Formats: sequence, C-alpha cells, structure tokens
Amino acid sequence: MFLRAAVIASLAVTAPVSAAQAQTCGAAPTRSCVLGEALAAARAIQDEGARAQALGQFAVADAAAGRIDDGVSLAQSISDELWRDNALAEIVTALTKAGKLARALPAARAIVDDDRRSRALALIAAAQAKEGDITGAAAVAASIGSAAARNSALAALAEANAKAGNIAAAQNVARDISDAPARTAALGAIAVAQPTAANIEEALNVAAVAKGLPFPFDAVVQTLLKAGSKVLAFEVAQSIKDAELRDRALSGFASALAKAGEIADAVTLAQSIAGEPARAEALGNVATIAAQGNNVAEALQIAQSIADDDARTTAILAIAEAQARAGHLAEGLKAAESIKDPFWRYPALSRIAAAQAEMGNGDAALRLAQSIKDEYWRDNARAEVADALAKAGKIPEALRAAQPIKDAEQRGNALAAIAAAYAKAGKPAEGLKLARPLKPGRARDETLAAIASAQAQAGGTKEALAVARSITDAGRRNAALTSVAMALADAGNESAATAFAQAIDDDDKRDAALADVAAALAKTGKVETALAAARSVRDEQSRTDAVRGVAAALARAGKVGEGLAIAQSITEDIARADALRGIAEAMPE
Amino acid sequence: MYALRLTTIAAAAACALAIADGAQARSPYDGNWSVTVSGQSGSCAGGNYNYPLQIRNGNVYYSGGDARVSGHVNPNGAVYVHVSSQNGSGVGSGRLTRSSGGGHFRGQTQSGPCAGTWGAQRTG
Repeated sequence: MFLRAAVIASLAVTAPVSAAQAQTCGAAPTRSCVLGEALAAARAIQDEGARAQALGQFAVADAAAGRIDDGVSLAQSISDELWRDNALAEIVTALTKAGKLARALPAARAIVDDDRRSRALALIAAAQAKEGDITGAAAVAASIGSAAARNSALAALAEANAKAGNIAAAQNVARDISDAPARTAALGAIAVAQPTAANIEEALNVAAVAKGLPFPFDAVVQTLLKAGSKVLAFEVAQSIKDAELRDRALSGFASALAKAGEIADAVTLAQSIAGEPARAEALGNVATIAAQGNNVAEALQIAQSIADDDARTTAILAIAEAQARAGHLAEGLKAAESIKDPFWRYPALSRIAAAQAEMGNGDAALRLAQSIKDEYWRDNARAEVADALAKAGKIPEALRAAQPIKDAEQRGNALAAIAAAYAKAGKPAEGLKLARPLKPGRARDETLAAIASAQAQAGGTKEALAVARSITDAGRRNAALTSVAMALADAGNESAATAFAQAIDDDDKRDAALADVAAALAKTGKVETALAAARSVRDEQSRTDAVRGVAAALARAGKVGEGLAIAQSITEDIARADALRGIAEAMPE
Repeated sequence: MYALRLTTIAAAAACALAIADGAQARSPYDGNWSVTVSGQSGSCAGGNYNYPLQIRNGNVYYSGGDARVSGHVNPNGAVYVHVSSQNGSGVGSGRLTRSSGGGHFRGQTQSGPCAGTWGAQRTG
C-alpha cells in the first residue's frame, strides 16, 4: 500500500516543459490556438509511426469539421504511407457520409494502396448509385482494381439501375459480378423491380449458394400482389428442379404471403412442400404470422395441422407465448388450453400467469398459477408472478405469491426479486434480511448489488461497501462496485465514488473504473478529486488516458481553462496532442 | 446477433432439459451438455450455434448472463423450455434419448421471428 502511494506521489502533474510545449495558449484560449498547440504537440512526437497516426487524426477531424482542403492537405503531408492512406480513407468515409462525393473522389484516388483505394472508391460508387448518379457510379466502379470492392460497387449500381427501371442495364451489370453474395443482392433487386419467372428463378438459383437463402421474398411478393400475379410465386417455386431449393423457396414465399395477409394462399403453398420437416417449419411460420395478425383461431388451426408432434407443439407454444407477451391474455390462454398434453400445457399456463401479473392483475395470475396441477410448473408460475409483482413494487403481494413455493431454486429467485424491490423502495435493510440467507449464485449476487446501490445512494457508504464486497462471484462483485462508483461519481459524491472504485480487486477493472470515475467527477466540477482518482490509476498508459479524460470532460463541461491546464501538463506528446485536440473540439468554432 | 443468440439459447436449453430422465428427482443425465442449434427460417436462417448447458435434478441451467431460462423434462424425455430477455423470448421443445436427441424452437426477437431445430450430445 505504501509502495503504491509512493508510486502515485511520484506522478507529478506538471513536468518540466519541453520545447514542443513552449508555446501555449494563454488565459483566454481560442479554439484555433488550442488546435495549433495540439498540432505542434503532434508534430513533436518522436516516434514516426505515432506521429503519423496523430497527424492522421487531425486530418480526419479537419475534414469532418468541414475544413476539407486542410484535412486532405495534412493527410497528404504524412510521410508514413500506411498512416497517410489510413487518414485519406477515413476522410473519404466521412465525406461520403456527409454526401460530399465530389470532394471524396480525389481523396480516394490519392490513396496509394490498391486495396484501400478500391474500397474507398467502392464506397463512393455505392453512394453515387444510391443518389441516382448512375453514370458517375458506373465510371467510378469501372476504375476499381480490386475484384471484391468492384463487385460491391457493381451490386449497388445494379440495384440503382433496377430501381430506376433500367432492367437490361441492371442485368448486364449483375452478370459481371464475380462473387455470389454481391450478385445475389443485385439479382434480388432486379427480381423485386421486375418479378418475372426468369428473373425470380435466376435470383433464387444464385441465392441458393449463399447462407440463409438471401432472396427478398417479402418485397417480390408485394410487387406480385400489386400486379395481381401472385400465382407466379407458386409457379416459379414449384418449377425449381432441385428439391431442397424448391422447398426452401416455397417456405419463403409462404411466409411472405402470410405477412401480406394472404393466409389461405400461404397455407396452400406451405402444404405443397414435399419434405416433411420443411413443410412443418413453413406451416409453423405461417401460423405464427397469422397469430401476430390477431387471427389466433386460424393460427391454431394451421398449427394443429402440422403432422410432426414436436413442431406442432412448438408452434402452439410460440403462439401462446407471443399472445401473452403482447398482452392478449384471453387469446394466449386459448392457445395454451388447446394443448392436450398437460406436460406442454402447464408451462404455457405459467407464462400466461406471468403475463397477467406483469399487466397488473396479480390476483388472477395467482389463481391461474394455483390451478396448475404439476408442482414444478405451479412453483414456476408462482415465482414468475412474484417476480413480476416485485418489479412493479407490489411487495406484500409478491411475498404472498412466493411463500408457498417449494422448489428451493425458484423460491430463491422469487425472494431475490422481492429483496431487490425492497432496496428500490428505499428499504435496503428489509432486502438484506431476505437476500442474506439465499444460496450463493447469480440471483443473490444481483440482489446484493441492488441493495448496495440503494444503500450508497442513501448515504450509507460503509454498509454499501460491505454488502458489495459480500458478492461471491468476482466478476459480478467488481461490476457492482463499478456501477455504484459511477452512480456516486455522477452525483458528485467524490470520496464514496473513489472508495468503491478502489475496492475493485482486479487491476485492469479498477483502473478502468477509476478513469471513468475521474471523468465523471470532472464533469461535476470536482477537479482535484477527479485528478487524484486519475492519478491513482496503476497502469502508466491507462493513467495518462485517465488524466486526458479528465481534461476532455472539463472542456466539455465548459471549464476550458482548467481542462487546458491539465492537458498542457501531460508530458507524453501523443497523449498531450490528443488531449489538446479533444479540448479544441469541445470549444465553439 | 444478440437477439439471435437469445432465441437459439431456447433451443439449446430445450435440448439439455430433455436429456434428464427424471422429473424433479436427481436425474441419471445430470451433467454437462453441448447443444447445437440450427436456424432454418426467419432472422436466424442459415446460422449454426453451440451452447454449453448444465442439467441438475432434471432442470436446465444456462450460465450465460444474457437470458433467463426455465424448463423441465418428463420421464419419457419430452421437454419444454422458455427463455426470456430484454430482447425477446423463445420456446423450445423436443424428445431425447439419454445421450442425444433433437427438437424444434421458435422465438420472437427484435430482429423478427426465428425458427429452427436443435440437437445435443452429452459432454460430461
């Protein structure tokens, strides 16, 4: 401990001023002055790679702030080729995102590395195509050297052509694409724009080799429905020779028709699937979609038609679950009660009971839970109900629900939720009485974390720290300590925040928490404590980062002078340049 | 991807539950299991995922902190499991022998519906 204190003490805030630090902004610093000082610090970095990286960051920041010429010029002045290209590529990305494509193009062309230049050009071509500049996009795409980047640009170009109704041009472009995923996207867009049998078949055949059959079923079906030719989906899919692809295509079209509200056609299509597993899957999908559209009776009928026992049960369970979650309790109950085998019906009823409790109907939920004959699922339902009631702050009702639970694990989970509710209600001592005897594990740890947080917020730092330290799992204990430390720091409770962060027993996590606490304290104006927390970070690089974070937080909070003083005191050129740049960016133009 | 993971956990958990022979008593299948989940349609189509799960006294436990799992198995190996999280929920069911098996899962996540199958092998 003494050694640690000595090390911390040796980290003087203000080091001897180097040549690069000689010219600093004065008492009334301007943004331009701070930026100039930051740039000077970056140029003074001894290591060539680090210097190039820092200058690149300045160049990108310049371009993003609208000083495009300055940014590009600074990027091009970087002597290290890798970092120069990196800065130019980032500038291209920023300019493309901002829609400044004409300015992005020369920056992209200045990139030396073929692959990076190609990717930058592909980004621009895709943006041009999206904007409808098909001629410009085609010219840029044609100039791309790397096949992968060119393919991605060509896919965007084909999609733009298809959307514009230039189907022949789109097809020519798509057929030039040499990789399957990009060609799939292009041909899919063509099938949406012009859903002929030939276009759909070509797109499906290419999509078949990609993972997950990425064909735009929904969009194609919508176009077919608008054109009054939905029968085409059935005909095209049925005509596919490969049996597996035919089943997958039929399933995709069936789901798309169901989503469009064409349930009867969707069922017909799904039932025409030859393979039993694929047919069960497709009918289950259609049933689920029908239930989402509030056609629960029809959905259950479809689900009941599934021949495979497990697939049928899963589909009905999913319908009951989805209805309960959507608050359609009567429909959920209807679905659950349609399950004949009690083994599957009881858990479904348990889910409905939980949903009833979540919607505030605790008495009905408990009655439903009580009606479950199987002990395990009755306990499960009571635990779910207790959890929902506790989360809603209804502690006496939650206790009533939890009391009869026999299964130790489920009883523990319910009591943990109630203990957390006590803490939330400002009664951490009551919560602690329930939580302490629980079996060590996730539920107990999470409850103790909630109690510690409530105690700390109420000013009981010592008790809170003791409770947080009693969390058995190290990961959860340190997460709880970090979380409480941050909440306290945000509230400006400096000593308690630092105490919680210092209690973390993992070096890296403690360093990270101290850095975060330091930044949060700086934001609330606790400059001295923030700096002390930052300087107590053990790892040297993390410590520098933490001090830099304090400077940036101060500047963001409008305390530019104080932030600047701290940034200027950083002896390491890279961190100082970064801190100064951060402060400049926080200042008004 | 996170939402997909939650959905597929349901299938994995369903499988692990079903391994247990007994309902609430100690099961001869208590132990560790590796479950492979295959997305067939919806937001998880084409995906394959593996999950380690544990069975104790016929109940399944998932040690990941990203979901809450409940489930049960009956003496003939039929299984039900439910998984919920902030991102959605899912149910899985199936039937297994003592050392392997399979079934179906369905879920609703923020990315949309997801359905598929699962299979399992005992690992310890």
